Amino acid sequence: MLGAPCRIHNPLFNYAASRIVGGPERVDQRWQRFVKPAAFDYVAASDVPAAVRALAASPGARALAGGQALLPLVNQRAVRPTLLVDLGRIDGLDRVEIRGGTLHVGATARLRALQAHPLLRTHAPAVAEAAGLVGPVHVRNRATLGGSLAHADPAAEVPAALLAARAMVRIVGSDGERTCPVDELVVGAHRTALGHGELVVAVELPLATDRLGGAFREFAVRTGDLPLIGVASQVRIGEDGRCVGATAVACGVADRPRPLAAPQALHGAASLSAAALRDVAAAVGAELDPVSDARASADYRRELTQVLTIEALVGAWRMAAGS
Amino acid sequence: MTAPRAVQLTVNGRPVEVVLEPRELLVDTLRDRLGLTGAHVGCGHGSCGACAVLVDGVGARACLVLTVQLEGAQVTTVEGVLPAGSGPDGGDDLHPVQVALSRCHGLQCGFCTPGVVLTAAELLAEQPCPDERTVRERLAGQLCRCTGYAGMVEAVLAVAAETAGSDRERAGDG
Repeated sequence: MLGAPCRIHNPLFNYAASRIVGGPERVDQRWQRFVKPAAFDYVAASDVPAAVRALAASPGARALAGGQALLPLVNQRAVRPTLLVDLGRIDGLDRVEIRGGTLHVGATARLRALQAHPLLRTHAPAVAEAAGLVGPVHVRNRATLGGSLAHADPAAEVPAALLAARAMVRIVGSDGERTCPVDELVVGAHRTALGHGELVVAVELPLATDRLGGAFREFAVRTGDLPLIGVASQVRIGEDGRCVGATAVACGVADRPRPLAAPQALHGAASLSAAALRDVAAAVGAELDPVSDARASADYRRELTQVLTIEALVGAWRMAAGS
Repeated sequence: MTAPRAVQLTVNGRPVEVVLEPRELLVDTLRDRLGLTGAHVGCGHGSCGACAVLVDGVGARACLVLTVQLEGAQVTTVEGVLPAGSGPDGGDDLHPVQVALSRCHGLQCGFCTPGVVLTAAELLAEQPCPDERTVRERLAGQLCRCTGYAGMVEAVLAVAAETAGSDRERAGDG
């Protein structure tokens, strides 16, 4: 009986069993039974068309960028892809440059590089700040912008910041290329409008024309955790010193990034008065209907969103006014 | 079609070729095939930081990297944090962070220690004299469940202070 193959899918049990039955052949095979993910095939795509072909050809295929969101799920077998298409070897897919009147950020640009990237800091400061708040450094070293966006976690910083920065997403599929705004891409918790075989290849951000400021403020129980609530804000101030645009998007309040209408009241304002901020906070409270769960009540989430919206707006405004 | 395939990489300066299934995680390759048991498997999904290694000189969680992704890569584990023979008198010695952790009571059971050593060594290589806030931010990804973080932070700052001191000494001699 002891020599029978172990069928229990618990790595710890299998490990213990391998210690009990002993024998050199058992020890040699230990690693084979100690694997965490279910079996999958792997291909390192050499370019975008090859990646799209591989994704389209296999129903259970998933794109692998930095792997920092996907691999935890694969390790826990919460996701069982049949094929991982690695985008990490595609030359130039991580490029950050000004191209055709927009700031082009390639899908596999690493968050660690983006948090301090001068072009991103200039043209989409809220996105740069958001990138710096994702996970601990060792996760940011590998996590990518496209991966974080396509993962579409409702509490994730990057999709909310991209929406606040009015990003357009470039998508390539078997039928060619298309572009859509973030709120058309992310349609629910971990759900996107990406079709079978489609791939996010880049994000395009409008270039700053006016004085632009941006900020991301969040509350997370532990540094590096997904926030309970986060708010991305960008503020544009025109030549006459008046606000010509103020956006704020919250994560953690709904199943997808939630744009807030309240900051629009700041259009035309020459300064950020305490009274105006109080009005914005009240309006945020009135327009939100947050979820309630084991981590926080709807009321707590609403109040946190009000506070973080004000903090993000103040941060963005100061940056815009100071530049 | 998940047939084993060959991957060539360099681990602690030593070229190795491993034949493995795509689903094999770097931390399992290191521990079970190469006998490098310094990187620990705490959680297996990127939460604890005990499996920290350097991939091409940059810190990563070895449980969130597939070995097949690393064709041609350079991997450094805690066993290679100080290149062999680079200690005083050409011997194998401890990294200054390891010495300081021991002196400042920066470890207890030692499970998280390899990740802490690598993370701190990586930080000090980038910034020889980081402030306490930076040290705490960097170590935030390394979970310790026994002794806490005060001793670890003290240890990293002690190494930084020593570096600053020896720099001053050299400047004074010059």
